Amino acid sequence: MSMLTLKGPRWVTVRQHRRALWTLPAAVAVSLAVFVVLRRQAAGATPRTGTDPFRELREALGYGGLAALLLPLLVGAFVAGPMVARELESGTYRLALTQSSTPRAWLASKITVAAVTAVACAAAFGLVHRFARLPLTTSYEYSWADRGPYETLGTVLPAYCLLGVALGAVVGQLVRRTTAAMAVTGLATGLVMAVLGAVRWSFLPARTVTSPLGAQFPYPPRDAFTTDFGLITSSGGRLPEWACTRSGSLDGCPAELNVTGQYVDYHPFTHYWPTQSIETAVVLVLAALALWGAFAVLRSRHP
Amino acid sequence: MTDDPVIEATGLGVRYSRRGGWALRDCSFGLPAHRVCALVGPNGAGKSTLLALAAGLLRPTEGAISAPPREETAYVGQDKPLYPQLTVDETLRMGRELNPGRWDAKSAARIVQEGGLDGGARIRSLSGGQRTRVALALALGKRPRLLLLDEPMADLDPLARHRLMGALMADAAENGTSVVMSSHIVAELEGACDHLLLVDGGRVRLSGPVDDVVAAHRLISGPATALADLAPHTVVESRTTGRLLTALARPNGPLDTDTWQTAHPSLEELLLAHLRSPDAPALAVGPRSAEAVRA
Amino acid sequence: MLEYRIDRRSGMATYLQIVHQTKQALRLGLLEPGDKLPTAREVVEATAINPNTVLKAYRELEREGLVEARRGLGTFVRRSLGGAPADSPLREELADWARRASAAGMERDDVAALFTAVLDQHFKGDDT
Repeated sequence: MSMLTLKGPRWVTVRQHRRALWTLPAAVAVSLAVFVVLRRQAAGATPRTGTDPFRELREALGYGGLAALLLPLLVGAFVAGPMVARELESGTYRLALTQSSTPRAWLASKITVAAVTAVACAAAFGLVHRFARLPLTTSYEYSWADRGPYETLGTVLPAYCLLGVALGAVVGQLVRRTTAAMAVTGLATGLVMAVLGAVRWSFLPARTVTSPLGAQFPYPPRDAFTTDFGLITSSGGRLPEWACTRSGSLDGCPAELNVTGQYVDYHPFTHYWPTQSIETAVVLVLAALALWGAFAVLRSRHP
Repeated sequence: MTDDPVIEATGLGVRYSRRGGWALRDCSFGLPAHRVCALVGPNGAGKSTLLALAAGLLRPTEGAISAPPREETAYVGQDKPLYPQLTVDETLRMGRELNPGRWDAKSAARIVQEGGLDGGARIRSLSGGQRTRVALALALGKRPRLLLLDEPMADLDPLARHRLMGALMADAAENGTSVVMSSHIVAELEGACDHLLLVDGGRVRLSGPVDDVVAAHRLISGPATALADLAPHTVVESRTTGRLLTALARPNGPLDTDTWQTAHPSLEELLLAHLRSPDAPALAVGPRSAEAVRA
Repeated sequence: MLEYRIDRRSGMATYLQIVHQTKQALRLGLLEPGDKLPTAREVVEATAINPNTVLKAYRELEREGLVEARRGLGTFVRRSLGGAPADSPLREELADWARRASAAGMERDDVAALFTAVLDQHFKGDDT
């Protein structure tokens, strides 16, 4: 645990940024309070038909999840700007780097303090979300695969926080201007999140259910995440589900299309953790590369 | 007391960008230990670059510089970098945290107290002179073998200047600290410094013990017609007013005292003459041992 | 405790100023054998001059046999200078003479010039 004891450069880092560092646990505490209140309200409400007593809780969870997506961006921007670039911009690095402790320890203390705080708060935020969604019996408007809940409830949010910290450490040194470094780091972290968010459901092959033409659309299992649906032709090709209706006839498909059935692609809930693990691993590899880069830049400038 | 050089530079050169000019070039010199060295030169001469090199904040583009390791070197930058959001007490605590096993809390606290500083005051609320005091306390608390000060007295009033210089000299007397301080105001350093390094245009123009450097020069005046007589000597600067010739020169032998009136220049006269004549040859008075100087 | 006053514009080497002021104090009886000179640290802290300058002055005084350095203790006066301590009859006579010069309407500079002239006449070649 010597990594966590507040001594040497880590003491200095915490002293410098203690206010900013407290905002994260404070935000987690506030979110916990909000969810406790909403859960109580929902439990105390008299059920009326046609209304969802958990509507507000669902909305709050949705917004909370989206807000959580900003966490890696904010943490990264903080490391890049106030922690690293500001020292280089204002010249205080000359104070820090001429003490007995090494430049490595200087950068490592910033990374450690930011990473520990961010990961702990991201994990705590995930637990708060798990606690808040307990009364929800259906995934209506709150699916495990949605952006927000997907990251918040899993391991990728802490991993993205680490990526933000590592990117901040390298960008802050290269850009050396507080606001510019913050913007670049936020954008870079957001870009990685957007790209991986777009491809994450390709990590594992989706499952497919089919039904013959004319029958009802097939149902994937409950809690499954539907990624695609449409029509199947006799040759095994796929057509969009509106292909039949577009030709004008409302009953039955034109024969030349050779449609024989309907399909639904989906990811079962069992894909959640494997997908999380693959994405987490990819993000951690990227974070490790950025971290290596940060120390390489430091070494090249300060022996 | 040993007089091994505390800083030794050979062929030192620094260029900040690949296409830019050289901030320092071809600098070779040695600074003996236990001395207080004045690093003088006009603005932009390369003084700050030289100090940053010695502090290990910069890597030379070419050549090499050897100085004590970071644990034994303290550096105070020109703008006295400190963390504005910390208090004075926290800043001193930082000194302890970042210099484990070396930190002299008593000395550091004394320097701060002598300035009548409130330990709970935030750095951002301090005046320039108070900041200098805290920065100096942080540097001396480290108990450095080498203390590098970039324009340390620039923003101080005369009294504060005198007091802080006194505190510095006391530390040098007590611990034998080697001090290098830069300034473009010579009067600020005269009396306090016993070693000289004149940097101008990125090059070392003069280096050596102050007394020896001064002793190597003469202020000469005589008839302008006798200018040719000065040929065997190194003339740094000469001026003719009517029939009178005045010059600052390094005699390379006896001067004809019938023709010439000579006097020892003051340090300031010497430095100004060199700055006015950028093409005058450089002079390095070899590092003699302290014992030889004393004898 | 002796306090040195350093005049940067006097043109006299700093270490010589310390030597002179120490001797002056010895002559006036302000320093007596056994007295301790201020440490180099004390001197430089008060005057902001280079420590090596103080050490050089003390070595000069030591070379002249006026003081001795005792390791770890400090620098101590070995012998006094001249025979005119601060309260000697000679000082009284000089003070009396100065009063009369003043009464006769002489200016400070006149007195100094006269005194120096007489000094030069009687103490040739001994300028320390």
